[in-house]
Parts: sequence; structure tokens; C-alpha cells
Amino acid sequence: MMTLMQAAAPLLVLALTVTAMLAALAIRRSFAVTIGIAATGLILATISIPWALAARANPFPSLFNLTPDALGFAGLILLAGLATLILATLYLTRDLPLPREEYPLLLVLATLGAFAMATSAGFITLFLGLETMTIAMIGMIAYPRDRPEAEEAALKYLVLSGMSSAIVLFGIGLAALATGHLTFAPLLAAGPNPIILTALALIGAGAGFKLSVVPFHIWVPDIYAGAPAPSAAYVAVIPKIAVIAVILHLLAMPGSTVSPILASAVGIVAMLSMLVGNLLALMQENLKRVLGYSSIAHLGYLLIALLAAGRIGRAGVIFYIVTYAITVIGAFGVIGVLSRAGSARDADQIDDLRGLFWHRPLLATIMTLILLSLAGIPPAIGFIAKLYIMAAGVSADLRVLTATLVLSSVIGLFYYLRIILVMALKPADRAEAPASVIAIPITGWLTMAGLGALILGFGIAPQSLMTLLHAVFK
Amino acid sequence: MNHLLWLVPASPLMGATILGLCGTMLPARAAAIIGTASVGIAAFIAILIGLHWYAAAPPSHILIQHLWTWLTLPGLTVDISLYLDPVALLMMLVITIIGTLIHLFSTAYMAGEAGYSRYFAYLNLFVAAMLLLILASDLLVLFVGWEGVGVCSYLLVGFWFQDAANGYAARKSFIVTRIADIAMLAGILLLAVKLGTLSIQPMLARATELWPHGGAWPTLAAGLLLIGGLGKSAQFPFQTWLPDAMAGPTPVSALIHAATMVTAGVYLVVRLHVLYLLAPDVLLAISIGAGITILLAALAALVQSDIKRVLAYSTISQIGYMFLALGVGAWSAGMFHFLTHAVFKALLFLSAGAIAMRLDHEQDIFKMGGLRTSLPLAFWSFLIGAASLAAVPIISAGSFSKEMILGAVWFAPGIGPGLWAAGLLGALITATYSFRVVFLVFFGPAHTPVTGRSGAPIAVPLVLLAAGSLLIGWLETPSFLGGDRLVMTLLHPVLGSPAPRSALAILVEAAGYIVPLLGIAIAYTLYRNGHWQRVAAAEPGALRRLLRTGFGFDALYEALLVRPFMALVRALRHDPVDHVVTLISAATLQLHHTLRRSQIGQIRRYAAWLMAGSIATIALLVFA
Repeated sequence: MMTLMQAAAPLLVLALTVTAMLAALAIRRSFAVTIGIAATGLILATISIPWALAARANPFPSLFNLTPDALGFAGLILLAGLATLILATLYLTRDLPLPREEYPLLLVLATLGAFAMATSAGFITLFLGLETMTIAMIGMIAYPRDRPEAEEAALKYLVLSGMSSAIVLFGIGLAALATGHLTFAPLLAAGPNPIILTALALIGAGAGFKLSVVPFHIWVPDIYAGAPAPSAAYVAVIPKIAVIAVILHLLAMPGSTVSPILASAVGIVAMLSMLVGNLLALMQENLKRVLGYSSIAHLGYLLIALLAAGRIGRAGVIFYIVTYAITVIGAFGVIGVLSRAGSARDADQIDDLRGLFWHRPLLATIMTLILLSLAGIPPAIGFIAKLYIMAAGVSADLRVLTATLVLSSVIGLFYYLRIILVMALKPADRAEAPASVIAIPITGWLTMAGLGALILGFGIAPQSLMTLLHAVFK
Repeated sequence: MNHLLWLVPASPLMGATILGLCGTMLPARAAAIIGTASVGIAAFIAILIGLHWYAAAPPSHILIQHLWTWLTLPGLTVDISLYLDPVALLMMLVITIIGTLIHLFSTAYMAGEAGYSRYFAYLNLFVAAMLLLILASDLLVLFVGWEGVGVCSYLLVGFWFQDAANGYAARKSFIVTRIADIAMLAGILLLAVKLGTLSIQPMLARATELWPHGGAWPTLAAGLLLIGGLGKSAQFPFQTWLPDAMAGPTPVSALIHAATMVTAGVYLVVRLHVLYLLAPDVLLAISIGAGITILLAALAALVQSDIKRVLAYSTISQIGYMFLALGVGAWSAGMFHFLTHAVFKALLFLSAGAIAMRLDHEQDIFKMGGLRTSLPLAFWSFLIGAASLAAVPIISAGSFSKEMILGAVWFAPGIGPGLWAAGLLGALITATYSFRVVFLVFFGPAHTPVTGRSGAPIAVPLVLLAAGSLLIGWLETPSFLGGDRLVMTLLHPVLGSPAPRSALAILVEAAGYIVPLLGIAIAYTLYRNGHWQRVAAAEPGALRRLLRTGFGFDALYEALLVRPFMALVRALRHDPVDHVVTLISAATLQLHHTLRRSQIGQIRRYAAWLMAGSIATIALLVFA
């Protein structure tokens, strides 16, 4: 029994954690206990990943695809979930006039959904995972419910992701109609008839929505800006890892080919995302919106590596999504440790960071590393990630796309460096700046310093991350 | 011991990190200890490695410590590894030991200044960047150190940023060297593309294999890299930034001039000398440029009234001698002069700092005078430093190295004697201007009262550096003084041995020994009581004014480069490209406002957008 379930161990641990949290909540409300169970569950699930990797058999071949690759992405999802859980714990302080215990529950539930999605072997699991994740995330966005903008963001996300789910579901229906199956393989094997193509287009549109690439990006800034910082970090990172996992799985399946027309469609999407994302971010005063637009651009970069395929392209995609996860969680983390759920708004205006170098030099240094990473400047990891994408683009002869990447990165420099400049300005007035009065607990410092160390450490020694990724992803 | 090599750059870097991140929380004393100790540890390890090397040199006189691989791309791998050969060993010893003494001096010099810990953080980072530069085994890593040095010099020259003039000087040094660095980066990229590696040793091997002697590619690559080196070493035509860089605290000037910055260009050429041997045209350009630099800077130094500006021009001119040696292929002579120059220039700057501390930061030599009795330590240190700068025969270190360069230049084929004459003339002027300062500052009547007192952190570096300035020349002596060959023996495995001299050399040597004495005699006659100088300074003639501005290169560049550039900027301010950017931003703002207009409309709009996107995707896939 043990050996039979070995490959599914992380998934089972996660499911059990959700059950345990529900049970604990029913017995007695305690934030500490809920957080404790959630953290223990996530850590145990992460630890069991290497064990699961060694498994020989898959207990649920028709539902879950428990290959090393999928489990690698699942591990990344778990780690990202754990990082956001720590940020959320710091963020949800006692002064929030609401019960705080459901937030960790929603977070673990969403992580379970993302896990299921990343390891899905067919449309049923894919869709169930997608919905579990999405609906839990809506709760996370709306959590500080006396903030009107959080409620508004959640409502928008509900309507729009509901729509995108409907689109995906319609696509799955068409696929089932044409092939008679609910697994991936027959869809890939089928010839290019209009129904199959429409199904692919609709499922692709749903993926585009979760990846927030143009033209399915329009929701991003509003939802990031309205959501509380840890939820925004979650929404910005975890669904994207899950979708990328599914796409890489599909691309790696035998018989899957990217037709030229599909490639050019993805190419157009990538180019538009890079340009639109960076151009829209230029004038923003709200840091979360900047991060939203910048994530659109980053996913555009990532699509280049996805198109380049091959060994370099695949390694580039995985390296980039890891980089993106660390950096974006770090960026929302900086906002998170300077804000509290109980206050009327997050410290998410760029002006809130004014003078950060003067009163919090360490945090400002970490934020500078994060911004350098987003902009792709050494010694941060983002430089290496972008370099791999460019190498993949050049080796696959995607000249126009690679040139667009360079060009739009230059535009991006402007708004990233401007934030560093604002942090270096003299603080306006010590008493007024919320960023200078909030006390940051030691866990907050450790998390942020850890993320900063990863960004710098992998930036100057990227080979260590590459070796780690090579050990997991075959 | 050798496996601790990584600690040499890492220790100052750690010091800089600690001071940079929590310096404001530390008391001044702790900051001083961390700052000095981190460089002291590096010096200690460097000395141990040096002793170990002396006892038993590693195989083929190269020590490589591979740390990790930075980048692996198809066609290019960049390793972070340290590469220690005799040249780098010599540089490492000089940088860490002199760096430690300067840090020690700074603890007293900067006492009570605002930003004390910030100062030491920058200083540590400066040393760390320079050590990375010299120890890098890869040209790209060397460039990281190169730019790090540039950033630190910017931060330190503008350390007292409250005064706008200092900020201007910092910007000037940064921009001038940056212009040169662009050429250098182009050279590095050219080498990467043409040779497929930037790891210096394999790269040089491949260059000799692929490129013919005097070919176009080696000439272009060596030339581009040379421009970077000339910029960093403040050589003609990039010399203008160094005199202005005097705006920083005096120990910083000592560091920039002696150890961490201006010698980087010399090192670059020596490190890549195999490449330069393939480009004889570039070598010729180096030696002619060096000749011009020596004379221009020495003449300018002759009329300066600020003691630090005299020293700044003297550095430009002395680095010129090093480049002169490199231009004729006398690599080890250039490195030997680097060694002696580092010691006596650090001594001169620290003595100037010690004087300025006691004179309420007065730097005008005409307002000094008669300090021989009131500041005996500073007097003797400055005198020894000036003697070395002037290359007083036998007793000073500078004479041994300068003599070696001039001897090598004389035997250079072609324009050798011409360059030799320029070098000799430069030596005459050097002796005159250095003793002009000695006579004006330490003799004659006093003009400014002396206050305060100096402690051990001031005295120890001065005494040690003075001893070095007297003795270090004996590491390498001409044949009639015993013919020690310690430096040559050390550098021989990398740089080869210099060509043997013929009989005529005796005359050449004699000229080299007499000229400095002649220069001092001129200084004595003209400036003994400072009268002649004061009359001339009251109403400076046109020539003097020209010399004082360093031949007016600032005005020339202002007219030729800065003003046209600013005019171009003004002309392009309303250009079409700009309009596109404005349009984009206007469109962005417009979009922004449209999206914000109403809540319900917004969702409807988003949903419509989502539908349209899906339909477009279907259309593209099905009908295209």
C-alpha cells in the first residue's frame, strides 16, 4: 500500500491537510493552530516530493500524471504557496476586525487545486483543479471584506474567471465531441479539423487568461491592485506555474507538434504581451499595478522560450518560471511586510517607498535586487533567466521576437529604475510614511532576506539552480 | 595557504556588506575596526600566499582557484575563478598592503565626519572590486571589477556630496571613464565573438593561433581595450577627470592613485600583453601617447597651487612612464615602476593629508611654508616621497624603476631615442615640480598656524611607506649596485626577461641619474624662498594660465564635445521619436482613464474584450 501510494504522497498529504484544517476549525477557532497545520501540511508535502520522485508506479494513471516533471512543478507550487503563507501570516495581524482562520484554509485549498492541475492527466482533473484553485483564490482576494477595492477585485475576478472557465469547458466539450475521450492524447493525435482547432483555441484562450497574456490580460492590474498583497502574490504566481506545467506536459507528449499557424499565433501573443505590458506600466503610480503589467510582459518573454522548444527552450521556460516566482513573491512581499490587513489600504503606492533606503536600508536593498531581477540586470537572477530566454530565442532563430524582447526590456528599465530612484530620495516626513512606522517581525525579515539571498545567490551562481532543476526535471 | 585565495577579495567585500547594511547601527569605532580589519585580513592572506610562492612557486607559476560557473550558453562559458600569476601576485600584495595602511590612516583622518561607516563601506568595496579586477580569470568578470571600481570612485570622489562641486567632479570622473568603457566593452564583445571565449589564457592562446601578427582584428580589439585602459588610467586624451577627482577625501585620492584605480589600465595591458604583441601599431600608439602624457602632465604640475592637484598631475605623468614602458614591450619595467610608484604616491598623498589635517584643510601651497620644524614627520615623509617621485639616484625607489624604463626605451627600435628624450625631459620637469612643492611648503616663512596633533594611525602608515619608498628599489638594482633581480625573477615566467643592454647604456644611465639632480637644482634656484613664484602667481601670464588648466583640455572638450552634445540634446528634444513616446504615454493615460470610468461598464468591457480575444484566436486557428 505504501509503495503503491508513494507517487501520490504529496497530493494525499495536501488533501489530508485540508481535511485536518476543516476539522480543527470546527472544534475551535485558533489562528495559530490553523497556520500550524497549514505550514506543516505544506512542508510535509514538499518533503515527500523527493520520495514521490523515486516511485516506480503511478496509482492513478487515468487521473494524475505523476511524472518527475509534473511533480517538480508541484514542488514549486508548494514552495511558492509556503512563501505566500508566511507573508499572509505576517499580514493578517490581530487588528483585522474579522476572523483570520479561513485564509490559510483557502490558501491550502487553492494550492491543492493548483497541484491537481499541474499533475492532471486528463481534462476532468484539469478542470476540477482549475476550479478549486480559482474559487479559493476569489475568497483570498476578497478576504479583507471591508476594503471596497478588495471586494470589487474579487467580483471582477469571479465574473471574468467564470467566463474563462466557461470558455475552457466549451473547448473541453468540443474536444470530447470530436475524439470521444477526456484525455489529452487523442486531441493531440487528431487531425486539424475545425472542431479540434476550435477546441484548442478555446482551451488556449483559457490558458491565456490564467497566464494573463494579451489579449486576455485586461483583468490583471485591477485585480492585483485591489487584492491584499499576499493574495496578489498568490494570484500572480501559482496559477501561472500550474498552466505552464500543463503546457509543458502537452508539448512533451508523443505526437504533439506545434503547427506553424499555432506558433505564429503564440508569437503574436508574446510580442503583444511584451510591448503592451511594458508600455502600460510606464505611467503607473501604483506598485501593484506596475507588477501586474510587468507580469504581462514577463509571461510574454516566457512564451518565446516556450516557442523555441528543444532542450534550451525547455530549460529556459523552467528557469524563467522559477525566477519569476521568487522575484514576484519577493516584490509583493515587500509591499506585504509594509502593510497590514487591518489598515484601509496597502502601502502599494510607489510614493509609499520614498526614502526607504534611509530608514530601512536592508529592505530597500532587497527591493533593489528584486527590481534589478525584474529588469534583467546582473547580478540578479532575472538577468540569467532573460539570457537563457534570449539564447533559446536565438538558437531557434526567432529573431523578431528576440529583438522585441530586447526593445521592450529597455522600456521596462524606465519604470523599474524609477522605483529605485524613489527609494533613494530623502524621506518626506518620517511620521507620515507608513513604510517607516510599521514594525516588521523577525519572520518577515528572514523571509525577505531569504528571497533576496536567492535572487542574488542564483544570480551569481545560477549553475546551482540549474543543477537542482536538472536533478528534478529530466 | 593557496586555497584561501578567494578570501582576499571576499574579506573586503564582506566588510563592505556588513558596513553597508548595518553601518548606521554601529559605533564609529566598530566601523573603523571592521573596515580596517577586513582589508588587513586580505593583506595578511596575500602576504602568506606571497611567502608560500617565494618558497615554492606553483607549477608553471600559475594558481587557479575555480569557484563556480556563472554562465553556460551555447558558444560561451563564463567561469567565476581566480587566476593568480606573478603579475597578479605583485598587484595583490601592493593593493592589500597599501590599502590597509590607507584604511588605518583614514580612521584618524575621517574621525568625526558624518557618514563615517558609509565611508569605510565604500572604501572596502573599492578594494574588493580592484582585487576582483586583478584576480579575474575571465575578461567578463574582470569587467565587473572594472565597473565596480568606477562606481566606487564615483561614490568616494563625491563623498562630501553636500557641496555641488564635489558632485560635479564625481560625475565628471564617472562619465569620462564611462565613455572609455564603452570602447572597452565593444572590445570584449569583439573578442567573445571572434575567439569564442573570454577566459583570458585560452583566449590569448587562441588569438595567437588564429590571428596573424599585425592583423586587423587584433589591432582593433587591442585598440578598443586600450581606450578603456587609457580612460581608467587618466591618460591622454582622457586625463581631464583625475585632477578634478581630488574633490574626494585625501586618503581616497591616495587609494585611487596608488592602489585601486588608475593602475587598472596598466594591468589590463600587461595582462593581455600577448594580444598587444600581435598589434604593433597599437603598441606604437601607446608609447607616443605616453610621451605626450608625460610632458603635458608634468608641465601642468609645474604651475598648480593646490598640493593635491600637483600630485594628481604627477600621477598622470608617472602612469605615462608605465605606459611608455609597455609601449616598447618592457612589461616588467612597467610593473616595477607600478610597484615603486604605488608606495611613494601613497606616501605623498598621506603626507599631504597629514599636513592638511593640521592646517585646517588648507591645500594651497602658497598659504603653507616653514612647516619643516612644526611638522617634522610630515616633512620627512613628504621629502622622501618627493625624492622618490623626482627619482633622486640611489637613495630613492623611484630612480631604480624610472632608470629601468628609460634604459628600455632607449633601445626600442625606431623612435626609441625620441621617446627617451621625452622621458628624460619629463624627469627633469618632475624633479623641478616635486621640489618646488617641498621648498614652498616646508621652507621659508610660515603662513598658516599649525593646530592639533597627529596620533599613531597617522604616524604608522607614514613611517612604513617612507621606509618602503627608500628601500623597495633595492629589490631590483642595476648591475653596478649588485644587480639584484628579485622583481624580474618573479615576473620572468609570465613576462619574459628584458633585452640585454649594450655598452652605450652607461651614458644613457648616467643621463638618467644626473637629470633629476639638475631639476632639483632648478627648483632650488627658483623657489628656495618662493619669491619668484609669488610674483608670477600674482599676475599669471598666458602660458602659465594655459598650463594651470592642464593645457585647457577641459575648455577644449567643453567646446568640442559637451556643448555640441548639449546642443544636439536640445535640438532633439522635440524630435519625431520623442513624439512617438509622448503619443504612447498619452495613449496609455487615455486608456487608463477610459478603463477607470465606471465600475459596471468596466466588467462588461473586460468581458467583451475576453470574448473578442477568444473569437480572434478561433478565427486565427481555423481560418488562417
